[in-house]
Amino acid sequence: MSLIEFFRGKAAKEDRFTALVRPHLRLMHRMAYRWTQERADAEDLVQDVLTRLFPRVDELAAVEKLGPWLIKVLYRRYVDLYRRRANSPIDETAPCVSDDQFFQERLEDGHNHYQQLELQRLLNRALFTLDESWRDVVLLHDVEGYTALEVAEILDINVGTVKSRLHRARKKLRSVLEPGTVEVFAAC
Amino acid sequence: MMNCCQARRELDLMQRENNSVLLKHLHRCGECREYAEELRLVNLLRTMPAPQPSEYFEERVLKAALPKRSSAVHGSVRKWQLATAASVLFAVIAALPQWQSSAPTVETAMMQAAISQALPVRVSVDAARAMEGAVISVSLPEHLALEGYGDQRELSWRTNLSAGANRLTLPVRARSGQRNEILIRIEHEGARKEFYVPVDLPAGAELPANNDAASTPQTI
Repeated sequence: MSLIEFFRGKAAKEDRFTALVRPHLRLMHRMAYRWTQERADAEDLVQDVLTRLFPRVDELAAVEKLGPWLIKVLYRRYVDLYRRRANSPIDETAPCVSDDQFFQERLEDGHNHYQQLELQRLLNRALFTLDESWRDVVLLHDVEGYTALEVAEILDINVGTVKSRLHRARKKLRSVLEPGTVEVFAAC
Repeated sequence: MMNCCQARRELDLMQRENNSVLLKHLHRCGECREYAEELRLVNLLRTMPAPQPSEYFEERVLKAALPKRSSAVHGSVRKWQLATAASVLFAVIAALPQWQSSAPTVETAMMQAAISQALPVRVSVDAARAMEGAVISVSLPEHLALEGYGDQRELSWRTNLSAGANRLTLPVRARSGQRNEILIRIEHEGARKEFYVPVDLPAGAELPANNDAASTPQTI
């Protein structure tokens, strides 16, 4: 082993990794929550991704826009885990959005706008009635504010597909906000 | 009368209050109604709340994701303690002066060595910023040698320093119990910094027969 190899110690690698990913951890958690709808699952997913990324610290350092890149890795891992669950003998095909407690806490807070939160709860549940491919686009573009180009890169699809899925998804979601559709989404 | 262009500008700017002229326009213009509904939807989605992660989330996931640094340190300390108990000839912990902000800072230097066998001398260099192509030179006194480098007293190599901690480990073999100092020089883009890492041997430590006398490390 050369002296140069001696010099690049483990501590330096850990510090470099931490410096690179730490600014993006909350964003990763929020995006993981958007997909999993569970705080604990979101944390586990982020941790899993970080564990896998640590050996690739040099690759991370070379990434120009690390935020979207990390979200892409997170998304792929989410899909892998989801598919693995879907292939398990346990039937988890029925989507169940467990946002009740989260929204309830916020609704009970007098400082929040009740009507807006109710509509957002409806929309959140409606999102999980959409086709996954549509939902992914809405979550990234409309909820998190990524550009169509970034969404295309994260999901590995072309921009035209992003726009068409977005258009269809929005059309369906708008129907949720119309009077008379509230009851449909009121229960999980 | 409001046209579609004005109506959409109003919609984009509108906060809470309804504008009666705008409402009239929306009543008769289906396209602007569509636009208004989509805008409402996007605004609701854009402000969709999400829970904050639990307390100490960042620390927890990073700690879990990184290799077990704490256990490695513990292992190192344990090895050091065992070695001390077995009469290691010296173990020095030296606090070294800091550099100016643009240059690396030497935070701590921990050295372990023995006469009978080469042990790693660890020096942690904390660089304020990344330094590509830094040249590191090591000058050894007569009584110290680097394992694998024979009698070479001067060693020099080029490397990239990362911002933050960089660890240099030198496999040092001591040949006598005299006080020794290793000179380490770092050069980068014309700037140069030298520092000495002192290595102290207890009296009589150079004699294998007296090894048992040195039972505790020295701290400088």
